[in-house]
Amino acid sequence: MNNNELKRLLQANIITEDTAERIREYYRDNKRQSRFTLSAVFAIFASVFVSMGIILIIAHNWDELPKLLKIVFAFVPLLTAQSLCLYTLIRNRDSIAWKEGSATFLFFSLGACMALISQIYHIPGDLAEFVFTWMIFCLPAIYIMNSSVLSILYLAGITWYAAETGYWSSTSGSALWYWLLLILAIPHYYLLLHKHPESNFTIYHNWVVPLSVTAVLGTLSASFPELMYVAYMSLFGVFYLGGQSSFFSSSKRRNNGYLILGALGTVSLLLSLSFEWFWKKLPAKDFDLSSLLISQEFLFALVLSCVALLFLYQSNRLKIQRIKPLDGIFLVFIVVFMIGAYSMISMILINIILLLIGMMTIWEGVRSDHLGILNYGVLIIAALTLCRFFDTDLSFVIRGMLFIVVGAAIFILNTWMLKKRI
Amino acid sequence: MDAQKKNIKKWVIPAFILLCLAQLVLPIKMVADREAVVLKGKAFRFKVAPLDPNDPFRGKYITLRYEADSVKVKNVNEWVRNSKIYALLDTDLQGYAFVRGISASRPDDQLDYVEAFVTVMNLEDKNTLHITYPFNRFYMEETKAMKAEKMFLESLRSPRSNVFAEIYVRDGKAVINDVVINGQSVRDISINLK
Repeated sequence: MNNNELKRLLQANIITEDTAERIREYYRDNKRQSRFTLSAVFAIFASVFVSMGIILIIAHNWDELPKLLKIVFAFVPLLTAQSLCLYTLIRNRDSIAWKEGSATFLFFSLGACMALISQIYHIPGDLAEFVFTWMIFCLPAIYIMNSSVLSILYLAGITWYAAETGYWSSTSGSALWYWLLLILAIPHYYLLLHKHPESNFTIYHNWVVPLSVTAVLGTLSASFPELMYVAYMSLFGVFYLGGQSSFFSSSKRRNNGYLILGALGTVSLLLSLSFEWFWKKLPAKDFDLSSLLISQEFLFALVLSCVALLFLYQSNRLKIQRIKPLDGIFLVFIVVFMIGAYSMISMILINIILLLIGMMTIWEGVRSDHLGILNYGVLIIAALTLCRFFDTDLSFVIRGMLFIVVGAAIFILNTWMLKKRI
Repeated sequence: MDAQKKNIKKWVIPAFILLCLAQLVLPIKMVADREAVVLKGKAFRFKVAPLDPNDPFRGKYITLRYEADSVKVKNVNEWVRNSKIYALLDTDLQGYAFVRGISASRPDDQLDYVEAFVTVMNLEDKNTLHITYPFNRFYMEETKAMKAEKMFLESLRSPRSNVFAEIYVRDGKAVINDVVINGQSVRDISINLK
């Protein structure tokens, strides 16, 4: 709002001088705030580019230089970054730009230093081990520098470590260290959620944390890979229910990675299990109950289910009359999974559950007057229809008609909803 | 509020200095460990075996494979794939390294040995166990890499050529010092090629 508009409103006696001053103050504050954010963004990007540049220049591997000089060069960026961080801590503690920028630089320069020493001495090393050491030595800086960018880089790093150990290396392990490393980063995230629930850094964490956990959970798969479906379903249950807890209830939907990942994950998993391949081989599998009960897949599935149950219990106490379609799916799935160990009927049950979720989601969208939710419901039913096209022998005419019905439903429901709003 | 800020500052600076020292000690230890091997260790010449010509270079390093990559054992089934072992080294009459035995536990310090990993179990030959060493990369300056690759492969193909890696060994740890082709360091040869 510019000054002229304010003057006009003052002259027309719509606002008082006091209100006008408060409006001016509000916009001044906002401007200052956005300038702060902008300078922080530039500082972070500048640090990333400078760090990468330094890494590339030294990675040239200057053969002409004596070894000692190369070693000294490897330490220069690290020492510079440490000095910048120290300067920030002493002089510029309150500047987000300095804090985040110098911490980012420190993160990359430590990695670069280690990589360069490895190059000078031809140490091939294990990539997972390298990333693990790098992250351990960056972790304290998250708290000392109070840097959220560092926290995000760290979370990305430990995810990389876990994927490297659990999925990509020839000696695949289960990357159990990841969980400890993740817990060590949680206090910073908790403080962010507590103190600045609406800040950009918090929103990025709201996405990075659940994405990282979703990516890494699969590394636990060992002797009983089938149990991972239960673990994943409960994980999505935890995300979905946790995303509705008081911690996140004030944030916008698109800022709530937990809610969105939980909802999308639950439905995608159900869709992938609506085919017969999984249920065909499940009863044939001979489960050794005693070794199953002590397997890490079972333990994680159990813990996740308990956490989800806790969230469900809490959320239901708050709004008993408003149960959402995806709320208890993880519980239903555990029952369906157990039935699946004996009978193919589980496949049909999954299809019925998906249809019900779709219909209830549409109803939820209508009830809360939310076009996004309504269309998500229609999309679930459309996806289910599409999936059934792959493994049924329906004629093209019936398939075509089904598509027309789904398309028409989307059109009619949306038009009806928009009309209702007017 | 100010008092609280001062309190925070009190622990933050010493904690950060401690972290800095730890971060510096980490790479310094990497350097010191390797230098100890080069200075106090014994040098072995590992004959380099012909490489898979499709993937000799990944980025800016040469992948080295050694002729001394197998050892005779009683039964290969007694060894676990990908497990860490210690290869006992000795020198043959031509002055090249060979593996005279392996051990699952750390051998006596009087002996020369390196850490290695069990790779392929030859099911047809129950007595030959293949191993790989963790020192299989030789980093080079990027501009020299392509020329060095060509020269390296040509000399490996020629029957009279003599290609070996000079490797320092101490307490199981190894550091590649140089790759030598017909008596000349691969670094010098590729500079001359420029």
